[in-house]
Amino acid sequence: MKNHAAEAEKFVADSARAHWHDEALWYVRRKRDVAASQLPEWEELREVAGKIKKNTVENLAYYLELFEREAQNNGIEIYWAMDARECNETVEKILREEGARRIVKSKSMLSEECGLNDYLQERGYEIVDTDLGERIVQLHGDRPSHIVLPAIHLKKEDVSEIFHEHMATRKGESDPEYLTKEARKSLRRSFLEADAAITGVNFALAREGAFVVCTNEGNADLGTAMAGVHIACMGIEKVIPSARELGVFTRLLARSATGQAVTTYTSHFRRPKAGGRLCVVIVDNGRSGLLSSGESEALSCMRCGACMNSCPVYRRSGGHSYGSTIPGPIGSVLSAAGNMDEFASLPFACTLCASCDNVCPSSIALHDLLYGLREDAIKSEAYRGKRTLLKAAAWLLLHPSLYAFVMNLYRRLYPFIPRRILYGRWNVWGRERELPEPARRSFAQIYEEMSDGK
Amino acid sequence: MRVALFVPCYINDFYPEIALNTMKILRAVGMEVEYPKGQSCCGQPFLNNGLVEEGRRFATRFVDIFAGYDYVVSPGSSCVSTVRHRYPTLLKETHPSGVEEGRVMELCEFLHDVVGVENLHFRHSFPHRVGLHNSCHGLRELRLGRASELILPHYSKIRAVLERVEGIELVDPERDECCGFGGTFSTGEEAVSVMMGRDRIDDHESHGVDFVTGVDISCLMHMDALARREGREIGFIHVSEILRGDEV
Amino acid sequence: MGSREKILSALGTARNRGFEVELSFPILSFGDRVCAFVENLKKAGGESIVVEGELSKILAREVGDADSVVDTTSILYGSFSYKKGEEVDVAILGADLAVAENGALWIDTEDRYPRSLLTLARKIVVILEEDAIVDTMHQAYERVDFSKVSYALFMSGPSKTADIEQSLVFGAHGAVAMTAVLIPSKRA
Ligand code: SF4
Repeated sequence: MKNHAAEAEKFVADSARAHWHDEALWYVRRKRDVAASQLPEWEELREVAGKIKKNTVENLAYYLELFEREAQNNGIEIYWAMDARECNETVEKILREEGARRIVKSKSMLSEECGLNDYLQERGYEIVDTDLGERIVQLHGDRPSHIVLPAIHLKKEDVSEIFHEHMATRKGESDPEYLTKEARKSLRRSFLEADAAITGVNFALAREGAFVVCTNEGNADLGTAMAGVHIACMGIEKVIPSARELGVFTRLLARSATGQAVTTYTSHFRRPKAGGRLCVVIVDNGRSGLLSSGESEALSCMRCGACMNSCPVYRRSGGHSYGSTIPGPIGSVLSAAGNMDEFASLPFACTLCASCDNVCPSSIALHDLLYGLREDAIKSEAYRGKRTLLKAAAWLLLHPSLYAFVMNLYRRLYPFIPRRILYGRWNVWGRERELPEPARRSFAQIYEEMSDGK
Repeated sequence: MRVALFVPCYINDFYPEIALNTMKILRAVGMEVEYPKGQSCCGQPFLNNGLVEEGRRFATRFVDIFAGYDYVVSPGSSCVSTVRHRYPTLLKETHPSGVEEGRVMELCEFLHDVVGVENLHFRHSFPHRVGLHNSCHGLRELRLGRASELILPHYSKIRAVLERVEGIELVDPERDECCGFGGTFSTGEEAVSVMMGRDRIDDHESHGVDFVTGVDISCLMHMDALARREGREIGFIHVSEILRGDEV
Repeated sequence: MGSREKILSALGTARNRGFEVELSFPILSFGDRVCAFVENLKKAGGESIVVEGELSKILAREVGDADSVVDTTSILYGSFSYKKGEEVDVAILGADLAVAENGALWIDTEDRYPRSLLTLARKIVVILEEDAIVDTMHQAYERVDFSKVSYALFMSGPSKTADIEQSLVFGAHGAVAMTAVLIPSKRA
């Protein structure tokens, strides 16, 4: 089982860096606040987005079939994949048909989820992540720590070293402008030579049979413009009814994600380019199962990352501490709902502060979902001790006179317990914190005396 | 109006003066206050750890004990929130008509919504700079104020009530962020919890406040526990200690 | 049973479209859409010029001494040729829709030139009539006729990234600069 607390402890141990990480993401959160406040209808918009998503997800079969039919009419090839393996196999099959070896990929959390990069590399394909953040992480042999800002855990000095090692940039030169320009040069070659382009899908439009990819860098546009075949991988939940609803989502997405009014490129793909192929792989990989669970609401997620930026735990523990493809509040929900044995610690990596609920552009009640998942999580073997203790405490508290007796004993003994014992190894709270002192008399006692004397 | 005082278990044993002050304040604004016998925990520690069956027993007990009052008022916002936010689903079967929802209120909320701030005439003053810590469940579940994430007009019921006390100078910290207590989170995720708590204290301290106040003593207790260990000067007091209630 | 059927059957047998969600609240509108557009495009790193005098002169100035220019509007040059993968200095494009709230311009290739022009041009100049600016994305999508679209995009400013320590850098992959050339509405 993954242990969030242990990983978080390592991240927090470097206090300066953890604070730097916290500040960087808080800054993004504040930019989001400013952008959102430009729209007086912001809260209504979030609510409507949640409703649209919910309605689409509840009638997913209808919208997926409609999307498929309309997309095929437009010359888009549609493939279906039950799971990660089938998604990867389908992509490879298309690549083989095209004789493609060199692939450029823009950001797709789904391909991360499916382990597509490793799968293709093992089979001899050259796959280049073209989103700058993802490229940094790829060169570093690392994983994204955030779904919108994949390299947010790295400092510019880290990037400088990574680029120096892999792209022979000037040693010690860490100016972001310089590093970005060098990456542009290096990636430009990959774009011009690409045989195939893989992208994610932000929104699939059922009625129009088209789909939308949002980026700031234009990497999806450049990659797909050059390569002969464009393969777009989408989770089944990415479909929305029509372009009409797109108005709602494009207004919310970038403002929530980075505080921009809209992504620089909001690109609509409806037909293959002349002489090219346009393929969409529709992937389930556990999503239909989620639909019938208590966490179906999580399928409304539009992957904006706002819940991460707003999460006080995520900001201080770093994305990698979650040990899952998607970190933060929504990642904890998805991972725990999908595989509780592995991710039982994630529902507890949360204080239930509910800040995530308030920023989510799809109005997902994330903290309620995390609360609900704890019912299963606590049953995990790892929490046997905690469970037993809590059950004992519950039993005691349900017997008020016995509980009062125990507390009375404690308040009498308290002054005589040596600090050494009170703050012994058992006392995790007391490692860095003082214990509250029990009062001389409980309120119940005080009240009783007051009523007696009345 | 008959008002039942709901005293969360940790307030009963560790902070009885908060309950006492709450009772005095309520009496001072003309309420007929009773403290129903046999009350204990609201069940939050168990519910927040997924022990639903245990939680349900606390909920059922709560509903029985507090039946028949016009209002139930408590100085603990997260316990009130447990009742309002968690009980309805929990007791769907046994209490299908819904329980307690509008009736159970946090102290400041009650003073603001039911009594009305215009009817609060405190005769004492509190001439201090005070940081206002917005406890998460009070802020985002009970909506006692506008959380910084929401694009809504600004309001704060807690502030509105506290500002009726003369001399008080309330200061909002940079962030209305969680203090990192989170019940068992404080030990289960010790490292992050401690960092969150210290960050909140630093934020308040940077504004030069004498005290930090709030509607939830558990959050204040967490920050106080950290501050005391480090020998920091700043004091943490529950709103009821500022409102006092000797005379209204 | 293939994966398609398996997935669809896992989603249930019903085939309903559910309900249409109404936008039953007031939507942001601007007193001066042009002004808002200019401001928001600027925030996104793009420039705007309002045409006074002759359009071709303004375009010539925008082009400067660039070596390679592709003018898809045929205003500056009578014709154009562009091959996929060519890196050029300036692309001149036309747009008939733009959005005040975010400075985005609707650019539709209409299959008249290879798509790579939109990212391989270092600078993009877009000509737009001020009348074509709508308040928000809602109105924008009402205006788009998707039945004619192969590939089209809303573009707001030049390509950008902030992936290295949140420092904003223009020209991550695509255009390094973008200018909107606004033709004043005839009504005014
Ligand atoms: S859960 Fe909501 S806030 Fe989090 S990434 Fe998804 S859409 Fe964004």
